Amino acid sequence: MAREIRKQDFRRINEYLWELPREFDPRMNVPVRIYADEELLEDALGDLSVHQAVNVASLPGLVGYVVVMPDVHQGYGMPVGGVMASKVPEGIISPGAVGYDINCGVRLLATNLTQEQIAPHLSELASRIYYNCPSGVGSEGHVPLTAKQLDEVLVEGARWALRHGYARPEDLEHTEEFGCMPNANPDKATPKAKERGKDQLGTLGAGNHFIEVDVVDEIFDPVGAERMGLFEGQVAVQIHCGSRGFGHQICTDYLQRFERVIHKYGIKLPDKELMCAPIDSPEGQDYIQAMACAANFAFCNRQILAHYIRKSFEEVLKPKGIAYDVWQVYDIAHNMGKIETHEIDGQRMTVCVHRKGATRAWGPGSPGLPKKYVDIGQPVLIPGSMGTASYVLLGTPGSMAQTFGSTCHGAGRVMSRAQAKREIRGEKLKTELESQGIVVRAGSMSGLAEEAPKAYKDVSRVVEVVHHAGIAKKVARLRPIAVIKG
Amino acid sequence: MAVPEVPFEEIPHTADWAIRAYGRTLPELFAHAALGMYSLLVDLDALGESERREVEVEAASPEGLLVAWLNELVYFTEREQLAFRRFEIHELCLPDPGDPDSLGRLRAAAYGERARELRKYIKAVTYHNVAIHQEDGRYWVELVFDV
Repeated sequence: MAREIRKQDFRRINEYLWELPREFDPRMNVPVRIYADEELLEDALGDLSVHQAVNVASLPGLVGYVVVMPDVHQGYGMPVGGVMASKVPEGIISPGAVGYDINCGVRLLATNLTQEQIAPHLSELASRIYYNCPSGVGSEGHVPLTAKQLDEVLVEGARWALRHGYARPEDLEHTEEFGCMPNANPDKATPKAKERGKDQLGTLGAGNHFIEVDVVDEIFDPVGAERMGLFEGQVAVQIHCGSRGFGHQICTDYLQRFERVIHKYGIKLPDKELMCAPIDSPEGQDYIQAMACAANFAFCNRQILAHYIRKSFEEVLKPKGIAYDVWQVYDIAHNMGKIETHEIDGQRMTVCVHRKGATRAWGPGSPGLPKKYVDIGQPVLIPGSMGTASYVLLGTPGSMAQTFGSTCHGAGRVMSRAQAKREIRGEKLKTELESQGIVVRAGSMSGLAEEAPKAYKDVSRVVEVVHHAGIAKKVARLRPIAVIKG
Repeated sequence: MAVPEVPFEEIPHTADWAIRAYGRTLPELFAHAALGMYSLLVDLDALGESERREVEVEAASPEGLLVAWLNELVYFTEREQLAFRRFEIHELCLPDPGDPDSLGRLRAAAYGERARELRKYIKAVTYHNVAIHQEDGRYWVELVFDV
C-alpha cells in the first residue's frame, strides 16, 4: 500500500495553496502544489488523487512542480485536474498524462436572445439539438468521411469545417490554437484510430459529455463580459466533448508502442499508465504528431456540433419569425500536451505542458490570443455538473506565473459512478431537474444518474479557489435551462 | 487477501469503472477479465454467440498483453456494436523476462453478438497500476476502464 498522505504533510503557502515538498517521497523530482481551501484539500485526500500526483512528480525531466487543481479527482496515471511541465527537448511526453480523450474541451456559444424570448420554444429547441447532434454509445454523425477527407480533418482541424461550410471565420479566431494544432501528421495516426473515427465527426459521445442551453445569471466582471458579448439574462450554449474513438485509440496504440521501448530510455515508472518517452525520441515525436491529429479531430468535431446547434436554432426560430444570432465566445481544450514557453524559477523555458482535466488560462498579452481578447486574457470555460452553475473566467498574470498558464476544468467528481448509480435513479433525477425548470433530453437514464450533481464537488467553491488564488478571474456565471446528453 | 471463487467483481473507483478478475490459470484470468468487462456493458445471459472475432496481439509484458487483448475487444465493440460472452485463449506466450526486447503473444477468439443496447461506453482499458498477482494458486488483476 502507498504511504498515507495527511494534511500535516503539506506546507501551507497561502490560504489557497498547499505544497507537498520533495522530501515527502524520495522518488519525487519536483514538489506537488495543490490549489484548494481546507475542505477541498480534504476531498482531494479522500481518494488516491494526491498519490497519483506524487507518482507524476517522480517522472524524469519535470520542472517547477506538479500542479493539482481544486477540482482534482482520482484518475488513472495522472489525476484528473493535474498539470505537469517537462523540459524540451530532453524531458518526456506521456500519452497517459494527456489522457484518452485527447482535446476533450468546452465551447461556449452566445446568442442575442433572452431567457424570456426562448422560454416558449425551449422544449422544441432541446429536441432539435438532441436530434441534430447524435449522442450515446455507438452514435454516428451526419458527416461521414472518406479516408482522404479524414486525413484532411486531422491536418486542418476546424479549418476543414470552415472550408466545407460548417463554420464562420470568427469561430476559428475564437478557438484555442485557432482550431488547428500544428505538426499534425496523419501518417502517425494508427489505422485503427482512423477506423474508429471516420463515422464519428459531429457526435457528442457518452459519459460526461453534454450540450447545455444556459442563461447568464450573474456578471462579475462587466468589462470582460462586455468584450465577450455576455449580458445578464442572455441565452448561451455549452458543448463539452472531445476527439471520440479516434483520440481514445491514438492513446491506446501509443501506450502499447511506448511500453515496448521504455527500457531503452532507462525510465522507471511508478505506474504503467504514466508510460512516457523522451520528447526528442522517435516515439515521442510520432506521438506528438498523432496527438495533434486527435486534437484537430476534436476541434473539428466541436465546430460541426456548433454548426448543428445553429441549424437547430434556425429550424425552431426562423419559421416563427424570431431574429437570432449565435456566435462563438471561445473554445478551450482541457486534455492536452502543448509545447509552450514559460518563466520557471526566473528563467524563460520551453516546456511540454501536460494538462489533464486542466484548462489553458493564458493571461493578458500572451502571444497566440485572438485580437479581441489579447488585452483582457484568454476566456476559460468551466462547466459545472449537470443542473448546476457553469462559469466563464479569464486567464491572469497569476496563472502565467504560478501554474504554467493553467487553471481548473470543472467541478470534479467525489462519488464513484457505481455509487451514484446505486443511490440515484435516473428517472427521479430527470423529474427533479425538470421541476427546477431544466429541460432534459437524455438517451440513457443510468448514464444520467452517474452524472448526477450529487456525484460532483461544488463548482462554485472550486471557482472561488482559482479566483482568490489568482490563477483565473471570474467573469460570469451560467445557469442551465436545458441539458442534452447521450 | 483470500482469493474468492468468482470470475470477477466490480471494485470502486471515483471517476471510472474498475473490476478485479480472478483465474486459476493465466488464460482463464484473461478470459475472466474480458467477461468482467462485458458484464459492465450488457446482460450477459441475454447475449447470443452468433458472431466470432479473432484477436492476435503482441506486447512487452503479461499486463501489456492483457490490456492489449481487452482493447482489441473494445475496438470491435465500438466499430460493430458487438458484445462478447465467451472467450477462447488459443495461445498465450509470455515475453522473456530476461530480454527487454522480447514480445509476448496472444491469440484468442471471442464469441458474442451485436448488442441492442450497451449500458456504457468504454473509451479504453487503462494500464493504471495494472499488475497480475499470483496468490493461493490463483491469479488476480485489477483493471480500470476509462468511461
